[in-house]
Amino acid sequence: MALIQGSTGPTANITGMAPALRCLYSGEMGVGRVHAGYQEAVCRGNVYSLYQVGGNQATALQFPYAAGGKPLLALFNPAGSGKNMVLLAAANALETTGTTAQVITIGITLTTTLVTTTAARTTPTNLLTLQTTGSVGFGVISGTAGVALASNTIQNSAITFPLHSVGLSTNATATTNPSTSFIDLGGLIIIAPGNQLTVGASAVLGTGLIDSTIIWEEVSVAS
Amino acid sequence: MALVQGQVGASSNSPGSAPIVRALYTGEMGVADVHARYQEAQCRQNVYTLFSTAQNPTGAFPFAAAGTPLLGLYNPVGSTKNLVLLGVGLGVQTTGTAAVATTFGLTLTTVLVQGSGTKTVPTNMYTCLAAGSVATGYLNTALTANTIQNAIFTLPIVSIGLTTTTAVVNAMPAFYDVGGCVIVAPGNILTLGVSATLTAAKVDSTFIWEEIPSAS
Repeated sequence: MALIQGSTGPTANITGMAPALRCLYSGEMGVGRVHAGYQEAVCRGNVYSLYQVGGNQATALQFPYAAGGKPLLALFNPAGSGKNMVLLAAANALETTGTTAQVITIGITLTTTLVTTTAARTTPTNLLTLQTTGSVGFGVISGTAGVALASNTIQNSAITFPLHSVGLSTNATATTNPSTSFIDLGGLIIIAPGNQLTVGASAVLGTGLIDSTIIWEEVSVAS
Repeated sequence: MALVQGQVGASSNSPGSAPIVRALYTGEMGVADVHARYQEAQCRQNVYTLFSTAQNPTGAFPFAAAGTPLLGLYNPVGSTKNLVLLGVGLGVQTTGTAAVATTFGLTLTTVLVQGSGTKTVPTNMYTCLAAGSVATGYLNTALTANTIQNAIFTLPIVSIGLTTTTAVVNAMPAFYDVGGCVIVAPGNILTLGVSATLTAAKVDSTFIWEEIPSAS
Protein backbone atom coordinates (compact mmCIF):
# COMPACT_ATOMS: atom_id res chain seq x y z
CA MET A 1 0.00 0.00 0.00
CA ALA A 2 1.13 3.49 -0.73
CA LEU A 3 1.57 5.76 2.27
CA ILE A 4 0.26 9.23 1.77
CA GLN A 5 2.15 12.30 2.87
CA GLY A 6 1.18 15.91 3.27
CA SER A 7 3.15 18.97 4.22
CA THR A 8 2.92 20.45 7.73
CA GLY A 9 2.14 24.12 8.05
CA PRO A 10 0.38 26.68 5.88
CA THR A 11 1.51 27.46 2.37
CA ALA A 12 0.69 30.49 0.21
CA ASN A 13 -0.98 29.59 -3.07
CA ILE A 14 -3.03 31.11 -5.84
CA THR A 15 -5.72 29.65 -8.07
CA GLY A 16 -4.36 26.96 -10.36
CA MET A 17 -1.39 26.00 -8.20
CA ALA A 18 -0.99 22.41 -7.01
CA PRO A 19 0.32 22.54 -3.44
CA ALA A 20 1.09 19.54 -1.29
CA LEU A 21 -1.95 19.12 0.92
CA ARG A 22 -1.54 20.49 4.40
CA CYS A 23 -0.93 18.29 7.41
CA LEU A 24 -1.32 19.39 11.00
CA TYR A 25 1.35 19.15 13.69
CA SER A 26 0.14 15.77 14.93
CA GLY A 27 -0.22 14.30 11.42
CA GLU A 28 -3.87 14.87 10.56
CA MET A 29 -4.94 16.11 7.17
CA GLY A 30 -5.78 19.79 7.41
CA VAL A 31 -9.15 20.59 5.92
CA GLY A 32 -11.16 23.74 5.42
CA ARG A 33 -14.90 23.86 4.81
CA VAL A 34 -15.66 25.24 1.38
CA HIS A 35 -19.45 25.56 1.46
CA ALA A 36 -22.32 25.99 3.88
CA GLY A 37 -23.32 22.83 5.68
CA TYR A 38 -26.38 21.94 3.60
CA GLN A 39 -25.46 23.62 0.29
CA GLU A 40 -24.61 20.39 -1.52
CA ALA A 41 -27.83 18.72 -0.42
CA VAL A 42 -29.97 21.66 -1.52
CA CYS A 43 -28.10 22.08 -4.82
CA ARG A 44 -28.64 18.41 -5.66
CA GLY A 45 -32.34 19.17 -5.49
CA ASN A 46 -33.05 16.64 -2.75
CA VAL A 47 -34.16 18.99 0.05
CA TYR A 48 -37.83 19.61 0.72
CA SER A 49 -39.93 21.58 3.15
CA LEU A 50 -43.37 21.58 4.70
CA TYR A 51 -44.51 24.78 6.37
CA GLN A 52 -47.38 26.94 7.46
CA VAL A 53 -47.82 30.38 8.99
CA GLY A 54 -50.39 31.12 11.65
CA GLY A 55 -51.40 27.53 12.33
CA ASN A 56 -53.03 26.15 15.45
CA GLN A 57 -53.86 22.67 16.52
CA ALA A 58 -57.50 22.13 17.34
CA THR A 59 -57.29 19.19 19.73
CA ALA A 60 -55.30 18.97 22.91
CA LEU A 61 -52.11 17.07 23.51
CA GLN A 62 -50.61 16.48 20.06
CA PHE A 63 -47.25 16.23 21.78
CA PRO A 64 -46.99 13.31 22.26
CA TYR A 65 -49.02 12.49 19.18
CA ALA A 66 -51.81 9.90 19.44
CA ALA A 67 -53.57 8.17 16.55
CA GLY A 68 -56.36 10.27 15.10
CA GLY A 69 -54.94 13.54 16.40
CA LYS A 70 -54.62 16.95 14.76
CA PRO A 71 -50.96 18.00 14.85
CA LEU A 72 -49.56 21.30 13.54
CA LEU A 73 -47.59 19.48 10.83
CA ALA A 74 -47.45 15.85 9.80
CA LEU A 75 -45.00 14.30 7.34
CA PHE A 76 -45.46 10.78 5.99
CA ASN A 77 -42.88 8.58 4.29
CA PRO A 78 -44.88 5.86 2.52
CA ALA A 79 -43.79 2.24 2.93
CA GLY A 80 -41.77 1.18 -0.11
CA SER A 81 -40.71 4.72 -1.02
CA GLY A 82 -37.07 3.67 -1.21
CA LYS A 83 -36.04 6.92 0.46
CA ASN A 84 -35.12 8.01 3.95
CA MET A 85 -36.17 11.49 5.00
CA VAL A 86 -33.28 13.03 6.92
CA LEU A 87 -34.53 15.89 9.06
CA LEU A 88 -32.16 18.85 8.77
CA ALA A 89 -34.01 21.54 10.70
CA ALA A 90 -37.23 22.44 12.45
CA ALA A 91 -38.62 25.84 13.35
CA ASN A 92 -41.61 26.81 15.45
CA ALA A 93 -42.35 30.45 16.18
CA LEU A 94 -45.10 31.69 18.46
CA GLU A 95 -46.81 34.72 16.99
CA THR A 96 -49.12 34.57 19.97
CA THR A 97 -50.21 32.02 22.52
CA GLY A 98 -53.69 33.52 22.23
CA THR A 99 -56.20 33.72 25.04
CA THR A 100 -56.13 30.27 26.58
CA ALA A 101 -54.31 29.57 29.84
CA GLN A 102 -52.24 26.47 29.19
CA VAL A 103 -48.80 25.17 29.92
CA ILE A 104 -47.06 24.21 26.71
CA THR A 105 -44.19 22.45 25.03
CA ILE A 106 -43.92 22.05 21.25
CA GLY A 107 -42.27 18.84 20.13
CA ILE A 108 -41.82 16.07 17.59
CA THR A 109 -43.28 12.58 17.70
CA LEU A 110 -41.81 9.93 15.41
CA THR A 111 -43.61 6.65 14.96
CA THR A 112 -44.56 3.90 12.57
CA THR A 113 -48.02 3.85 11.04
CA LEU A 114 -49.79 0.91 9.49
CA VAL A 115 -52.11 3.01 7.39
CA THR A 116 -51.46 6.42 5.89
CA THR A 117 -53.96 9.13 6.57
CA THR A 118 -57.02 9.93 4.51
CA ALA A 119 -56.81 13.63 5.39
CA ALA A 120 -56.25 16.32 2.77
CA ARG A 121 -52.63 16.15 1.73
CA THR A 122 -50.09 18.89 1.11
CA THR A 123 -47.30 18.21 -1.35
CA PRO A 124 -43.87 19.22 0.01
CA THR A 125 -41.94 22.04 -1.66
CA ASN A 126 -38.48 21.56 -3.15
CA LEU A 127 -36.15 24.14 -1.61
CA LEU A 128 -34.10 24.58 -4.79
CA THR A 129 -36.87 24.89 -7.38
CA LEU A 130 -39.68 26.05 -5.04
CA GLN A 131 -41.88 23.62 -6.97
CA THR A 132 -44.26 21.26 -5.18
CA THR A 133 -42.95 18.23 -7.02
CA GLY A 134 -40.39 15.50 -6.51
CA SER A 135 -40.86 14.42 -2.90
CA VAL A 136 -41.74 10.80 -2.16
CA GLY A 137 -43.66 11.93 0.93
CA PHE A 138 -46.69 13.97 1.69
CA GLY A 139 -47.73 16.31 4.44
CA VAL A 140 -50.77 17.40 6.37
CA ILE A 141 -50.95 20.90 7.82
CA SER A 142 -53.35 22.00 10.52
CA GLY A 143 -54.49 25.47 9.48
CA THR A 144 -56.31 27.07 12.40
CA ALA A 145 -59.03 24.42 12.64
CA GLY A 146 -56.80 21.34 12.58
CA VAL A 147 -56.93 18.32 10.31
CA ALA A 148 -57.48 14.90 11.84
CA LEU A 149 -55.22 12.09 10.69
CA ALA A 150 -58.28 9.90 10.84
CA SER A 151 -57.16 6.52 9.62
CA ASN A 152 -53.60 6.19 10.77
CA THR A 153 -52.70 3.56 13.33
CA ILE A 154 -49.57 3.62 15.45
CA GLN A 155 -47.71 0.33 15.24
CA ASN A 156 -44.39 0.72 17.03
CA SER A 157 -43.06 2.93 19.80
CA ALA A 158 -43.73 6.63 19.50
CA ILE A 159 -40.51 8.58 20.07
CA THR A 160 -40.95 12.05 21.51
CA PHE A 161 -38.52 14.93 21.27
CA PRO A 162 -39.25 18.41 22.67
CA LEU A 163 -38.26 21.33 20.44
CA HIS A 164 -39.50 24.44 22.26
CA SER A 165 -40.52 25.29 25.79
CA VAL A 166 -43.27 27.85 26.06
CA GLY A 167 -44.44 27.60 29.64
CA LEU A 168 -47.62 29.34 30.59
CA SER A 169 -49.91 31.06 28.14
CA THR A 170 -52.35 33.41 29.83
CA ASN A 171 -56.08 33.49 29.45
CA ALA A 172 -56.52 37.23 29.01
CA THR A 173 -53.84 38.73 26.81
CA ALA A 174 -50.88 37.49 24.84
CA THR A 175 -47.55 37.95 26.57
CA THR A 176 -43.98 38.53 25.52
CA ASN A 177 -42.30 35.25 24.67
CA PRO A 178 -39.08 35.92 22.75
CA SER A 179 -37.26 32.73 21.83
CA THR A 180 -35.12 31.30 19.08
CA SER A 181 -37.35 29.33 16.72
CA PHE A 182 -34.89 27.66 14.32
CA ILE A 183 -33.19 24.45 15.42
CA ASP A 184 -30.49 22.70 13.37
CA LEU A 185 -31.12 18.98 13.84
CA GLY A 186 -28.33 17.76 11.57
CA GLY A 187 -30.03 14.50 10.63
CA LEU A 188 -30.59 13.43 14.21
CA ILE A 189 -34.09 12.30 13.26
CA ILE A 190 -34.75 10.17 10.17
CA ILE A 191 -38.19 9.23 8.89
CA ALA A 192 -37.78 5.76 7.44
CA PRO A 193 -40.28 4.34 4.91
CA GLY A 194 -43.53 3.55 6.71
CA ASN A 195 -42.94 6.14 9.42
CA GLN A 196 -44.53 9.48 10.18
CA LEU A 197 -43.33 12.57 11.96
CA THR A 198 -45.67 15.03 13.64
CA VAL A 199 -45.10 18.44 15.20
CA GLY A 200 -47.55 19.29 17.94
CA ALA A 201 -48.09 21.11 21.21
CA SER A 202 -48.74 19.59 24.61
CA ALA A 203 -52.04 21.50 24.91
CA VAL A 204 -54.39 23.29 22.57
CA LEU A 205 -54.19 27.08 22.29
CA GLY A 206 -57.60 28.59 21.65
CA THR A 207 -56.56 31.43 19.38
CA GLY A 208 -52.85 30.75 19.23
CA LEU A 209 -50.86 31.42 16.07
CA ILE A 210 -47.83 29.23 15.49
CA ASP A 211 -45.52 29.34 12.45
CA SER A 212 -43.99 25.93 11.74
CA THR A 213 -41.47 24.63 9.22
CA ILE A 214 -39.60 21.37 8.80
CA ILE A 215 -36.79 20.84 6.28
CA TRP A 216 -35.44 17.46 5.22
CA GLU A 217 -33.25 15.73 2.65
CA GLU A 218 -34.46 12.65 0.80
CA VAL A 219 -31.74 10.04 0.29
CA SER A 220 -31.84 6.47 -0.98
CA VAL A 221 -32.40 3.92 1.77
CA ALA A 222 -29.20 2.18 0.74
CA SER A 223 -27.05 5.31 1.01
CA MET B 1 5.93 7.67 -0.03
CA ALA B 2 3.55 9.55 -2.25
CA LEU B 3 3.11 13.24 -1.57
CA VAL B 4 -0.53 14.19 -1.98
CA GLN B 5 -1.28 17.33 -3.90
CA GLY B 6 -4.45 19.20 -4.63
CA GLN B 7 -5.25 22.12 -6.89
CA VAL B 8 -6.20 25.55 -5.64
CA GLY B 9 -9.53 26.93 -6.83
CA ALA B 10 -12.92 25.61 -7.76
CA SER B 11 -13.41 23.28 -10.73
CA SER B 12 -16.54 22.38 -12.65
CA ASN B 13 -17.27 18.69 -12.95
CA SER B 14 -20.03 16.31 -13.97
CA PRO B 15 -20.91 12.84 -12.61
CA GLY B 16 -18.25 10.32 -13.58
CA SER B 17 -15.44 12.84 -14.05
CA ALA B 18 -12.30 12.52 -11.92
CA PRO B 19 -11.22 16.02 -10.85
CA ILE B 20 -8.07 16.86 -8.94
CA VAL B 21 -8.95 17.28 -5.27
CA ARG B 22 -9.40 20.93 -4.32
CA ALA B 23 -6.81 22.65 -2.16
CA LEU B 24 -7.34 25.98 -0.40
CA TYR B 25 -5.14 29.04 -0.54
CA THR B 26 -3.10 28.00 2.49
CA GLY B 27 -2.73 24.37 1.42
CA GLU B 28 -5.57 22.62 3.27
CA MET B 29 -7.77 20.11 1.55
CA GLY B 30 -11.08 21.72 0.65
CA VAL B 31 -14.01 19.72 1.98
CA ALA B 32 -17.78 20.09 1.98
CA ASP B 33 -20.52 18.13 3.70
CA VAL B 34 -22.46 15.72 1.54
CA HIS B 35 -25.06 14.74 4.14
CA ALA B 36 -26.41 15.90 7.47
CA ARG B 37 -23.87 15.17 10.17
CA TYR B 38 -25.87 12.48 11.96
CA GLN B 39 -27.33 10.79 8.86
CA GLU B 40 -24.72 8.02 8.63
CA ALA B 41 -25.09 7.08 12.30
CA GLN B 42 -28.86 6.98 11.95
CA CYS B 43 -28.84 4.95 8.75
CA ARG B 44 -26.54 2.36 10.36
CA GLN B 45 -29.32 2.01 12.94
CA ASN B 46 -26.93 2.54 15.84
CA VAL B 47 -28.78 5.52 17.31
CA TYR B 48 -31.13 5.08 20.26
CA THR B 49 -33.33 7.27 22.41
CA LEU B 50 -34.82 7.43 25.86
CA PHE B 51 -37.62 9.90 26.49
CA SER B 52 -40.49 10.92 28.73
CA THR B 53 -43.09 13.66 28.78
CA ALA B 54 -44.86 15.75 31.43
CA GLN B 55 -42.77 14.51 34.36
CA ASN B 56 -42.27 16.32 37.67
CA PRO B 57 -38.53 16.36 38.52
CA THR B 58 -37.36 15.71 42.06
CA GLY B 59 -33.82 16.99 42.22
CA ALA B 60 -30.86 14.88 41.09
CA PHE B 61 -28.65 17.63 39.72
CA PRO B 62 -25.94 16.93 40.66
CA PHE B 63 -26.97 13.31 40.88
CA ALA B 64 -26.33 11.48 44.15
CA ALA B 65 -26.69 7.77 44.81
CA ALA B 66 -30.33 6.73 45.22
CA GLY B 67 -31.51 9.91 43.51
CA THR B 68 -34.46 10.16 41.15
CA PRO B 69 -33.34 11.74 37.88
CA LEU B 70 -35.73 12.62 35.05
CA LEU B 71 -33.71 10.33 32.81
CA GLY B 72 -31.04 7.80 33.71
CA LEU B 73 -28.93 6.06 31.06
CA TYR B 74 -26.78 3.19 32.29
CA ASN B 75 -24.11 1.45 30.22
CA PRO B 76 -23.48 -1.96 31.82
CA VAL B 77 -19.97 -3.12 32.60
CA GLY B 78 -18.76 -5.40 29.81
CA SER B 79 -21.15 -4.03 27.18
CA THR B 80 -18.17 -3.32 24.89
CA LYS B 81 -20.00 -0.27 23.59
CA ASN B 82 -19.60 3.43 24.25
CA LEU B 83 -22.75 5.54 24.30
CA VAL B 84 -21.95 8.76 22.45
CA LEU B 85 -24.46 11.44 23.43
CA LEU B 86 -25.64 13.35 20.36
CA GLY B 87 -28.58 15.44 21.56
CA VAL B 88 -30.62 16.34 24.61
CA GLY B 89 -34.20 17.55 24.54
CA LEU B 90 -35.56 19.41 27.54
CA GLY B 91 -38.96 21.07 27.27
CA VAL B 92 -40.46 22.85 30.26
CA GLN B 93 -44.24 22.95 29.96
CA THR B 94 -44.49 24.44 33.42
CA THR B 95 -42.29 24.77 36.49
CA GLY B 96 -45.34 24.15 38.64
CA THR B 97 -46.06 25.65 42.06
CA ALA B 98 -42.81 25.54 44.03
CA ALA B 99 -40.81 28.74 44.52
CA VAL B 100 -37.26 27.44 44.17
CA ALA B 101 -34.10 28.37 42.23
CA THR B 102 -33.47 25.86 39.49
CA THR B 103 -31.05 24.58 36.87
CA PHE B 104 -31.43 21.47 34.75
CA GLY B 105 -28.26 19.52 34.04
CA LEU B 106 -26.42 16.29 33.31
CA THR B 107 -24.36 14.22 35.71
CA LEU B 108 -21.98 11.53 34.47
CA THR B 109 -20.51 9.09 36.95
CA THR B 110 -19.40 5.52 37.54
CA VAL B 111 -21.58 3.17 39.55
CA LEU B 112 -20.67 -0.06 41.27
CA VAL B 113 -24.11 -1.56 41.13
CA GLN B 114 -26.87 -1.07 38.62
CA GLY B 115 -29.91 0.73 39.98
CA SER B 116 -32.87 -1.39 41.03
CA GLY B 117 -35.49 1.05 39.76
CA THR B 118 -37.95 0.19 37.01
CA LYS B 119 -35.96 -0.28 33.81
CA THR B 120 -36.94 1.03 30.36
CA VAL B 121 -35.55 -0.45 27.15
CA PRO B 122 -34.24 2.30 24.82
CA THR B 123 -35.88 2.78 21.42
CA ASN B 124 -34.01 2.60 18.12
CA MET B 125 -34.40 5.95 16.36
CA TYR B 126 -34.60 4.42 12.88
CA THR B 127 -36.90 1.45 13.43
CA CYS B 128 -38.94 2.89 16.31
CA LEU B 129 -38.54 -0.51 17.99
CA ALA B 130 -37.51 -0.91 21.63
CA ALA B 131 -34.74 -3.37 20.83
CA GLY B 132 -31.03 -3.56 20.10
CA SER B 133 -29.48 -1.23 22.67
CA VAL B 134 -26.92 -2.44 25.19
CA ALA B 135 -28.08 0.24 27.61
CA THR B 136 -30.65 0.38 30.37
CA GLY B 137 -32.89 3.38 30.87
CA TYR B 138 -34.70 4.83 33.86
CA LEU B 139 -37.57 7.29 33.56
CA ASN B 140 -38.02 9.44 36.67
CA THR B 141 -37.49 6.50 38.97
CA ALA B 142 -35.36 6.15 42.10
CA LEU B 143 -32.07 4.37 41.45
CA THR B 144 -32.14 2.70 44.82
CA ALA B 145 -29.29 0.23 44.59
CA ASN B 146 -26.64 2.12 42.71
CA THR B 147 -23.48 3.31 44.39
CA ILE B 148 -21.30 6.07 42.99
CA GLN B 149 -17.71 4.94 42.65
CA ASN B 150 -15.74 7.68 40.96
CA ALA B 151 -15.86 11.45 40.73
CA ILE B 152 -18.88 12.91 39.05
CA PHE B 153 -18.93 15.26 36.09
CA THR B 154 -21.71 17.84 35.84
CA LEU B 155 -22.91 19.83 32.83
CA PRO B 156 -25.77 22.35 33.16
CA ILE B 157 -28.18 22.36 30.21
CA VAL B 158 -30.83 24.97 31.01
CA SER B 159 -31.02 27.84 33.50
CA ILE B 160 -34.46 28.54 34.90
CA GLY B 161 -33.71 30.78 37.88
CA LEU B 162 -36.46 31.34 40.37
CA THR B 163 -39.71 29.52 39.83
CA THR B 164 -42.86 30.96 41.35
CA THR B 165 -45.96 29.52 42.92
CA THR B 166 -47.78 30.08 39.66
CA ALA B 167 -46.60 29.07 36.23
CA VAL B 168 -44.97 31.76 34.09
CA VAL B 169 -43.88 32.14 30.49
CA ASN B 170 -40.47 30.54 29.94
CA ALA B 171 -40.06 30.46 26.16
CA MET B 172 -36.80 28.90 25.00
CA PRO B 173 -35.46 26.26 22.63
CA ALA B 174 -35.72 22.72 23.95
CA PHE B 175 -33.11 20.95 21.81
CA TYR B 176 -29.37 20.89 22.54
CA ASP B 177 -26.81 19.42 20.14
CA VAL B 178 -24.17 17.87 22.38
CA GLY B 179 -22.13 16.49 19.45
CA GLY B 180 -20.54 13.60 21.34
CA CYS B 181 -18.81 15.69 24.02
CA VAL B 182 -20.35 13.40 26.63
CA ILE B 183 -19.69 9.66 26.32
CA VAL B 184 -21.16 7.06 28.66
CA ALA B 185 -18.47 4.37 28.91
CA PRO B 186 -19.24 0.83 30.14
CA GLY B 187 -19.99 0.95 33.86
CA ASN B 188 -21.06 4.59 33.79
CA ILE B 189 -24.43 6.24 34.17
CA LEU B 190 -25.68 9.54 32.75
CA THR B 191 -28.54 11.31 34.49
CA LEU B 192 -30.63 14.39 33.77
CA GLY B 193 -31.93 16.17 36.83
CA VAL B 194 -32.88 19.48 38.36
CA SER B 195 -31.13 21.36 41.16
CA ALA B 196 -34.26 21.64 43.32
CA THR B 197 -37.39 19.57 43.65
CA LEU B 198 -40.33 21.04 41.77
CA THR B 199 -43.99 20.59 42.56
CA ALA B 200 -46.65 19.91 39.91
CA ALA B 201 -44.13 20.68 37.16
CA LYS B 202 -44.35 19.16 33.68
CA VAL B 203 -41.04 18.53 31.95
CA ASP B 204 -40.41 16.70 28.66
CA SER B 205 -36.97 15.16 28.26
CA THR B 206 -35.10 13.11 25.67
CA PHE B 207 -31.62 11.60 25.29
CA ILE B 208 -30.33 10.57 21.85
CA TRP B 209 -27.06 8.66 21.55
CA GLU B 210 -25.04 6.47 19.20
CA GLU B 211 -23.66 3.11 20.31
CA ILE B 212 -20.21 2.32 18.97
CA PRO B 213 -17.68 -0.41 19.85
CA SER B 214 -15.46 0.63 22.75
CA ALA B 215 -12.35 0.06 20.64
CA SER B 216 -13.42 2.38 17.80
